[in-house]
Amino acid sequence: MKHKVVGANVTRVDVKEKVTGAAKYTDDIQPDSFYWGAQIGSNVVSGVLKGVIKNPDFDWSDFVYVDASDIPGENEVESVVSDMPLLATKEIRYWGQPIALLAHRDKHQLEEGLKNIKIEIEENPIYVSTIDESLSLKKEIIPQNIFKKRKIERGDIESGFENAKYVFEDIYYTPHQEQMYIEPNAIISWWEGEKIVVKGSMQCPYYVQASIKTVFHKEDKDVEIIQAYVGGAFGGKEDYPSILGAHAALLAMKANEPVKMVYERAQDISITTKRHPSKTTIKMGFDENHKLTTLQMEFILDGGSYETMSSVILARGMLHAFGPYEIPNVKIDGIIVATNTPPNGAFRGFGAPQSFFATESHIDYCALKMGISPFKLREINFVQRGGSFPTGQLLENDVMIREVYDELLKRVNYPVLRKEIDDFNSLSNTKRRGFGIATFFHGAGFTGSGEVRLASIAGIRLDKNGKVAVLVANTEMGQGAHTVLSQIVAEALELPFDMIYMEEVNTQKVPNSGPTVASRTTMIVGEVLRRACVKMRDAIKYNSLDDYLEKVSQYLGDKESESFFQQHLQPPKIKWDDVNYRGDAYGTYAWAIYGVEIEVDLRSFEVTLKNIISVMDIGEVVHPILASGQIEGGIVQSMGYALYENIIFKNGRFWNADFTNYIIPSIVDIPKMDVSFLNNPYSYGPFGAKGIGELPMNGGAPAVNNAIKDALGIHLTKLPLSPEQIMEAYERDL
Amino acid sequence: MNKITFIINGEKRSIYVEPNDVLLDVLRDKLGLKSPKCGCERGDCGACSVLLNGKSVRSCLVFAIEVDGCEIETVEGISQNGLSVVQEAFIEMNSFQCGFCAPGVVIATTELLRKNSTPTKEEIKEALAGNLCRCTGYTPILEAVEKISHHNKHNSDNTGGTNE
Ligand code: FES
Ligand code: FES
Repeated sequence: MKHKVVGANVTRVDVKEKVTGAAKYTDDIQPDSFYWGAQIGSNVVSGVLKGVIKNPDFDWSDFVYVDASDIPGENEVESVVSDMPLLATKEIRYWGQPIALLAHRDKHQLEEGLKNIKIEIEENPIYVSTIDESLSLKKEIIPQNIFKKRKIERGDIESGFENAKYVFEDIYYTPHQEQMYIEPNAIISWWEGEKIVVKGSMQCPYYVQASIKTVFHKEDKDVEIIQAYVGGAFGGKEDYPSILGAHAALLAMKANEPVKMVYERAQDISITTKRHPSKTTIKMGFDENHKLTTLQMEFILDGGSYETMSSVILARGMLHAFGPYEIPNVKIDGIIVATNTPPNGAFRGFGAPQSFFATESHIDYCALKMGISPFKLREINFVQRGGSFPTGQLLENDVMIREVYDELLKRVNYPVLRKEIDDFNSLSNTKRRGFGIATFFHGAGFTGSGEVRLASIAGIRLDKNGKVAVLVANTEMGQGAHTVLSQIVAEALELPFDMIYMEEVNTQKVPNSGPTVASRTTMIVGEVLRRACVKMRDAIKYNSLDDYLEKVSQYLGDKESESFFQQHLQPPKIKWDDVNYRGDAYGTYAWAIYGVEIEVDLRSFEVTLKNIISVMDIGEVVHPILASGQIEGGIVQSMGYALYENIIFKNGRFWNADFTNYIIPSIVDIPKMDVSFLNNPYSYGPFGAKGIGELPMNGGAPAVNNAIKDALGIHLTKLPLSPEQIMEAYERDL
Repeated sequence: MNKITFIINGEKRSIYVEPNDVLLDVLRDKLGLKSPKCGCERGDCGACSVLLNGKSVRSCLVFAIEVDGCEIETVEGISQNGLSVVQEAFIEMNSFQCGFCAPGVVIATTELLRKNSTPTKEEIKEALAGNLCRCTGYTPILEAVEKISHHNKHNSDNTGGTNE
């Protein structure tokens, strides 16, 4: 089917405001009179809070001070598990944990005030900062230090390993990764009578609303949450604004004026959520034909000091851990452990980048050990159409892994590239080149029955002048959602793109179409919107634009507008068993492959990225330029994860909380990128579209690792793939 | 408080500042110029870039008191007579995602093209090396500037080319 607006590279709806500086991010909002708010955090890693002492000789008259005793409702942070206090009252589990809040109209004065507050904590000098320390029970933060365990099982791994001809096992580690949006977390809050208003940089306004309702014991109508322009999020503004929003609202309650809280970069890195560190033990068994018959994994995530939403991240990590392969015998144990670090949370990929690093690195390691090509090994084992995943999910026409793989080999012209690389390596004394691939996928939408529970509602509003407003709670954080959703509505209504506009994302103006996470906005919310458009077209029949305007005015009569809503409909046949982890974990998957060409300097052991080729099936591509932009940005983030990004923990706190020592890729680091899409439309996505946002994060690290393996013949198991680690492995293996 | 006088986006202004007031805060909070953004307040990210006497500087590293007698230009100034060539190219190429880095990138690119209307890819990369962007992977930014450069190269015989 040929579309008009879907598939076209329309101009982003927000780009002009962004390049002229007119876009108002949270910190750009400046009421006539307001307070700056700040947080008073723990200055030790672990201990018991004894009190907060305000210097009696200091003039506190123009300050507003808040601690847990000011909280009108529950002192908790609403999450999947609401085990974290909004402000600590007794137990301190991590450095920087929020204890109290302070505000003043003047920034310099606020600094002075903070200096005159002393926190008294009975320090516990023993703390836990890694998964291994947690498991060894160096200290028990919670019973056994285990927040949650889950299991996926199929077949019989014992007989699987017994009958295997080859068995290989190894352990893989990944560190924290900081989202490093360029705009730090920022929120402004004020009260209008009994109503609390919170405006800020956030992904999920209805999550913030739920948090505020709990903290203040308020009803929906008394909590208005508004999204400001968001300067990047990547998962990092999924849950944290629930904390910051409640903090600002508490200060505003006592200040009787707006309160703005903007984190400094160091603070943002030190105390907000990050990608969970992981430790994955993986064992694969193959038969004499190199068929992967058995997989055993123990996938451990470091949840940080409170569980919050770690269990859903664990679930997604496990449900991608088996890779794009058909494996008869599988056992995956997932565990979340506690450490004395800030609670970890959402970051693009949501557990899957960690498990794919292990699985896709290990496949290449096994190939090397068995003496066959990693390409061949994948060809033998790819899950086929009609095949199934270890959860029992039947994959009918939805599998595209072989297609993206074939397309990649064609695009790189592998035999020629191989020869080039081998020739280069035989001639150079100081450099080695290598080429590696990783094959991966990402399930779009909430895991399992999550979308049924969310039951998202979205809609459109037809205005008198014929323009149509899109009513969703999904936020534009750069990914292009507001452009793409407008395109879907324009297409479904067969109207010009410029007749569609976005309603402000405000809980009092738009329905709860669910959080802006899990690569769900285009696919799930877009489809609800498409169905809302069908509803409107059932009510108003029109043929041409002129006809449309006439019919609209007939239909509306005296009314200013009319809205049409729909609710998410779970596609038929999707069944999920939450207890046993069996069934259709996701409605569909997007499939992908990366091919990465690198060069390693044998003196410095530095890795240079030369070329990255990406082939993906994301269903129908709604906006090719924005889609490529998502992939390129995701590739570069995943290259940062592969090569540089590493949070260093010293004396119980993050040591490198700045851009100088936590390195993200700059424009000089980027390789040549070739991004292309295959198009296997998804019947339950709008016009065939699937989710794409997180997919590009999943494959970068293992692809680079495999390219290093190809270049040097070494096997690395820890991110980041640093020069030190490469040198050590290279010299050991010589 | 010290009085300073300077030209901001073509207009002469005198204001009072504390010796420890940072230019970025003064521009944003006192003058209401919100295009320079604060991404790190220590000179690492480039989001706060402004043109100081035509040179791109990180306004988070400059004390306001230092700009007495200087000329400052922000993205508000660049946009005041309609979109510049640089801004148009970034719009056309959908170069930004979240856009938080955009003002800094516009400043750095404007400076580059005023000095060198036909930069090579390497020169563009060098000029933008201090502007961090976490969203785009830089490709659409690079492509937009390369496009202007090609265009200028093409037209240089006829016009001698201004670049805004
Ligand atoms: S805020 Fe000035 S360089 Fe980052
Ligand atoms: S577009 Fe988001 S930081 Fe550049």
